[in-house]
This record gives sequence, structure tokens and C-alpha cells, in this order.
Amino acid sequence: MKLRYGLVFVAAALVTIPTASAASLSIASQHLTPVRTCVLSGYPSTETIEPDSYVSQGAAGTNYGTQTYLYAQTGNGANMRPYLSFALPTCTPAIPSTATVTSAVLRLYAYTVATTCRTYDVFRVGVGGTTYWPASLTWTAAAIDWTNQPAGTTINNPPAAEATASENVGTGCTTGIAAAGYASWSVTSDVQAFVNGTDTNDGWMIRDATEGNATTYHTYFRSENDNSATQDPQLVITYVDVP
Amino acid sequence: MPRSRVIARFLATIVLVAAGMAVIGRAAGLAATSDHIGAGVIATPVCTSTGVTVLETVTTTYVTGLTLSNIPSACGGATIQVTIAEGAVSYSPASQTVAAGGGTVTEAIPSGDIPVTDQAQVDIVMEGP
Repeated sequence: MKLRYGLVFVAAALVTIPTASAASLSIASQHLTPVRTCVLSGYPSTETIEPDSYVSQGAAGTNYGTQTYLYAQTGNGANMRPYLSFALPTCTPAIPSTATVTSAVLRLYAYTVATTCRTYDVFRVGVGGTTYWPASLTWTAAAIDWTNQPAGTTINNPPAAEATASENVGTGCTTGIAAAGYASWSVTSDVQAFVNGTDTNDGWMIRDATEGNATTYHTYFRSENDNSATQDPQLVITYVDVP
Repeated sequence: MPRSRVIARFLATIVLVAAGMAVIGRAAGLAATSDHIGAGVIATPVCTSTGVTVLETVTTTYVTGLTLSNIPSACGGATIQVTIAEGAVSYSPASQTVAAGGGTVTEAIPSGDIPVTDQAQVDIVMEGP
């Protein structure tokens, strides 16, 4: 009799085990990685998508918004700084404000590089508050000059520590570019702020890391007015927007 | 003990055991059918949450290729599918498999298919590994 009772328990337990396992059901999935990239370009030339210009200390009141190049230079009283921005709403479909920007790369084609390796810093216009930038941050390619530029006229200001990124350009550079080609700056955090709306998109200013150098060094970058598909400024934004 | 009593005890035991197991079985089924599962959100795993760098190769008027770089090794073996769209025109090259160590994937775009415009959209989906 005891044996029969035992068999009954064992049989009943076996019957219920598969059902009980369902309680610990786990859901597994292979990786599914979606990535979206928006490439904004200064080509075909449209100021509304990629306004750019540069400012010159030596010709402080002159505007260079129609030039086909962006001049970056260090020199004694002869410093020059490019300004540029990209209209992010141009991206189609629009980048959602909830998106996570995983990469944003600012690319400028240097067609004449400095004769020695120089470091060029990129600064987000507006960062630093009133310490480095005036309250009004707007600028236009058609009106900006050395005297009214958002960064102010003090050289080496904002300080290099405020830069978003740096790139080496010039003969002899072992990193960056030593000959004609695209220079790249990682501006991911800046674009993330623009996308999320935590900062206004007023673009970037680029300057030599050491302005006021006794010897003049310069690099020419292509501007959007150059109207070249292969050498115009680009902003490459990679993002994800998933829960 | 009379035989009828033995049978009665035996049957009673079966009824008790069956009732007990039925409770267990019902509890097991509840987890799969209750709102515990429906109320949760399970994130689809991704092989990378960092950026994949995308660069276009262009001629004076057309996009002729894409270079997808900085793909981490965690995505090695994944099937990668790319679609590029410029304006109303789009093109999807054949899917490829990411090399075991990650790295770079290049995609050729037939010249003439995708004209260069102010903005391009590149959608990438990596399935697996």
C-alpha cells in the first residue's frame, strides 16, 4: 500500500513539473541594433542649411560671408577664426528631441594646411555663459566680423579648456591631417544639447589653439560657398531613438 | 483493515493529491497569463550603444559609397542592412555580415542612383549576433 501511495505522488509531481516551469518563462532575443545617421552638407550651397564665415583681426570690420574658404590663422595682430553652423531641422525625418546622439562629427576640408602642425580648437558658441560670450549669441554669415563676433575680440578667449574638441592640421602632424583632406572634430555633446533643447544651436567657432603667435600660420578650409560636393563642410549625426 | 476502507483511503488520497497539484498548476499558469508580463517593458538588446561613424563617398554629383566604421567587436557576426535616402530617392545595398572583430563595413552605391543633396539619411540595422 505504501508503495502505491508513493507512486501516486511521484506520478502527480511529474505531471505538474512542465506546467510549473512556465512560471519561470524567460524571454530572450538576439541583438537588434538600429542606428540612424543624418548627414548635413554645405553642398549644394545654401546659407540656410550651413551658414559660415570667418572673422579677421587685421580687418576687424570686414565680413567674409561670401568667400569660398574659411580662414583659420594665428599671428601677431592677424588672427582669423571661422564660424559655422548647421540647421539641424533640415534632417528628414527630424531628429526627435528624445534621441540619444551617439556620434556627431564636424568635418571641414582643409585644402591648404599650415606649414607646421597646428592645433585647431572648436568651441560651441554660447558655452561659458557671460564669462566668455555676450548675452546675445546670434550671428549671421552676412554680418559677422571681428568686432561683433560672439566670442569677443580678446585673443585666446575662450580658453582652450573650454573647447569641445581639437584637431591637428598641418605639415608634420602625426595625428589629425598632415596634408589636404577632411579635418574632424567630435561634437557629440554639443549636438546632443541642441537636439534635447538644453542649449540653442548657435554653431561653432574655430580658432588656432595659440592665437597671437609671432610667426603667422594658417589653414584654409572650404566654405559652403565653394559649392563642392566632395569638399564642403559636413556635420554627420548618428543617433538612436528607442525606449 | 477491510478492503473497502483501503480503497476508500486510496481514492481519498488521489483526490487530495490531485487537488493539491491543481493549485500548484494554476499558480504556475498565472505567471504566464496575468498582467505581470503585460505590464512590463523588455528592452531589445543591442550590440552597441555607441556611435557608428558613417561617411559618404561622393563624386561631384552622386553618392557612390558608404563607409561604416568604429563598429565594435560586440557586433561581430551581425547582419548589417543599410538604406541611404537623399530626398525622395533611396537605395539599399545587399546586407553584409560584420567581421568577427567589428571594424569597418563598406557599401557600394551605384553611381547615378543617389544624387548628393544638402542632407542624407542613412538607416542601419544590425541583427545579431
